[in-house]
Amino acid sequence: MKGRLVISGIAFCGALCGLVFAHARWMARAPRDPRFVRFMRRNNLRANANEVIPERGKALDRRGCPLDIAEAGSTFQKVIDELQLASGAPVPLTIDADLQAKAESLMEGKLGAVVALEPATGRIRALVNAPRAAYLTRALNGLYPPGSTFKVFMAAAALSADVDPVFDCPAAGWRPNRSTSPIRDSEVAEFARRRKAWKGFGRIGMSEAMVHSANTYFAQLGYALGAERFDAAVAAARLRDSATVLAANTVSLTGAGGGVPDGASAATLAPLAIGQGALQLTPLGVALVTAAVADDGLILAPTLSEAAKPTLRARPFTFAAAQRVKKMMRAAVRRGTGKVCDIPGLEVCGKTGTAQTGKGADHAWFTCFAPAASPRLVVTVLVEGGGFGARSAAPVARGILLEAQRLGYFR
Amino acid sequence: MMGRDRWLLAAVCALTALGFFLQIRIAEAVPRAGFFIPYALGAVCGIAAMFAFSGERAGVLLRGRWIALGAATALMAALLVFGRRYRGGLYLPGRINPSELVKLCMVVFAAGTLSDGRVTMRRLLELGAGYGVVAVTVALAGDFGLLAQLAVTGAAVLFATSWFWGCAAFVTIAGGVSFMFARPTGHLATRLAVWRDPLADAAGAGWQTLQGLTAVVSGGWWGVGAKLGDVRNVPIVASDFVYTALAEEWGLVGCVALLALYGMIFVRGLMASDRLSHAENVGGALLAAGLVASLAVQVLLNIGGVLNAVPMTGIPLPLLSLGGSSLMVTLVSLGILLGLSRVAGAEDIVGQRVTRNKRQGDMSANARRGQSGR
Repeated sequence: MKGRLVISGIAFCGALCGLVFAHARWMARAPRDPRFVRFMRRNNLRANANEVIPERGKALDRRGCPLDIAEAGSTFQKVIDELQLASGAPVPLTIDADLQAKAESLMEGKLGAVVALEPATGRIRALVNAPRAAYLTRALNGLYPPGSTFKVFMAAAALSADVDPVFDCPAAGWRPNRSTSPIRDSEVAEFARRRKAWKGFGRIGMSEAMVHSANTYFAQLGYALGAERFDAAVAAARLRDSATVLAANTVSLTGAGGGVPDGASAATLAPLAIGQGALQLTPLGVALVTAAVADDGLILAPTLSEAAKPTLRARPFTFAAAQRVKKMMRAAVRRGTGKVCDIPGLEVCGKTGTAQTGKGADHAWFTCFAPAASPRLVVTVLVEGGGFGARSAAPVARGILLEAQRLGYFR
Repeated sequence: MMGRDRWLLAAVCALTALGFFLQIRIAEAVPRAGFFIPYALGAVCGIAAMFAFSGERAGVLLRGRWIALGAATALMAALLVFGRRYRGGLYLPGRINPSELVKLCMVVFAAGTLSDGRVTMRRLLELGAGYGVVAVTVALAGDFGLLAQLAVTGAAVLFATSWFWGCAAFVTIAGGVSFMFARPTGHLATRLAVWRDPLADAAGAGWQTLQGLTAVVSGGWWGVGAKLGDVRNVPIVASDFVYTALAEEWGLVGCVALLALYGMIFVRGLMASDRLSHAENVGGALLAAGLVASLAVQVLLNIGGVLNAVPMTGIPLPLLSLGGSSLMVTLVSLGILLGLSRVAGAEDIVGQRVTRNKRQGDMSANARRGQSGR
């Protein structure tokens, strides 16, 4: 009997060790399983398990499928709650659930935001905050220096004001006066790392400058445009204005306005022109500027409500200016910094952006629309701390565009 | 402790105290008078059982095996007739759960039937008939967790008696379980689906498991600290899911300590069984083995269910879960086990060596005892 008892003892204790192993395995595995992590995050502010939670407002995507987009306690959820209370039914939103899911999965593990909207109607098809949060809604309210994506605005504003110069862009950079430090291109540092001397871009026009994202050119362009015309352009585009995307009776979901310093002197205009300095925009703001170029110089009011009629928000650029900038952005993707996002068969127009923050890693931007002939979708991606826009943000945009193509947006 | 196993007693006391304070923490309030009653009663009955029983007296208990079987059947019948459903389980009026007592009675029955260590056809038929009747009533009550425990405990007692019949019993159980898992119906199908992938229905069927796992994972190595866990977020945390409360506040380290205490009880209980078998008290040995097996099955099925290693079976964790009847019966069983851990004529653990020497010859042992003046 002793043998059988010993075996039983070993079996029981072995099973206990197995349980310890199972426990440790969950501890190791769970943080790597994205579904589990999603579950844990969503239940972080969880209520008492036995409490009856009052019925939350539900949202539907553009096809009528249930959509889980708002975090508990967020303003978004409050708006949805009110709208459902008023209408008695789940709230239909313009969001496309498949596109949203794809964008969310591409932004998994990153910090940042994605905004995808239709330039012709202003309807937002995907709105991603990475990570999902109730109170820190990066896509609508996160203010960041836009970096080179602001060159889209600068180019379109300059062309609308009939300013289309050719400038010398030496490697040493350019500065408006002796008291400021020169604005240089990033190629200088790259070449210096490889211990080579860079010749500079030479004498280039706006198209070449956009393709290669030449800082020296745009700094001079900002100076040439002047503070008055710059302010006028900013006001025309309503960059400083907030945008209400979903409104209920007492509460509404609003995107913050950008922070554009006014009364800029020529000297401070140079860093602003390349999207740095004290300039700050939200991802939605950058998407709206891109939409202006895409929609022939008009900005439609961004909205999440399928029922709302498309309304005009601003007319910042002329038709001709928008067309030219479109061509430049197409070239930027075909042979410039945005090559990553070039999808065969789909004429993608885009602009990369790498925003220096002054502390830590640069933010990576990529804003684009497709197809060039009649744009159907604008996608703006921000990856906080992602470094070069082409490296971190452009692949995400590429994935989203491919998914949109699969869903039939570009037929 | 007058020959009883000190380690076993220490482990039992430590576990009971752990459960006591854990339940107070989960309640997060000063417990009402009713909270202490099962602990007090259980302690009294357990200590009484500990003193009342010993290896020799076990035979008395085992002779009453038909009474034990009758009691088990009567309890299950009463449950079927008078029982009321509460949260998916069947209970007698007053929320008394007789399943623990049924388990104890069946262990007594099994150990009693095989009490001289021989497996004959007649014994097997008796065993089969007794278990069959009780199993039918349990299946009718729908308590498959209890069914699993009874089956495994019975097989364990059979295994302790004989290699062949024990293995045959385990193989039969494995076959039955596989059959049930292969073609599951209704409630069982849901449980199996949740077991395979709790994230598939995160807001519905998988909610409890996932909340439990979240608590376990957030506990980490050392836990979040006493009183700092979100204990109320796991459903049924006080009874079935106490392990998650412990895991969240005391981490993997605390859980290893808990499992070590249970392991201590298992090992010392089996050593007591071994001692009894050496003292030619096979019935007592089987009783001790059966009690250990009953406890072990509960622990493994409960914690295994919480950690999603096995499907949830709705079994509470002995000595830690809230539940008066479970606590009292467990304390009584452990009291019996403690009683059985005593060997006749011994003073201490030293008694173990005295018994072994008895085999060599009574004279030398007695002579030694005489010399040391005890």
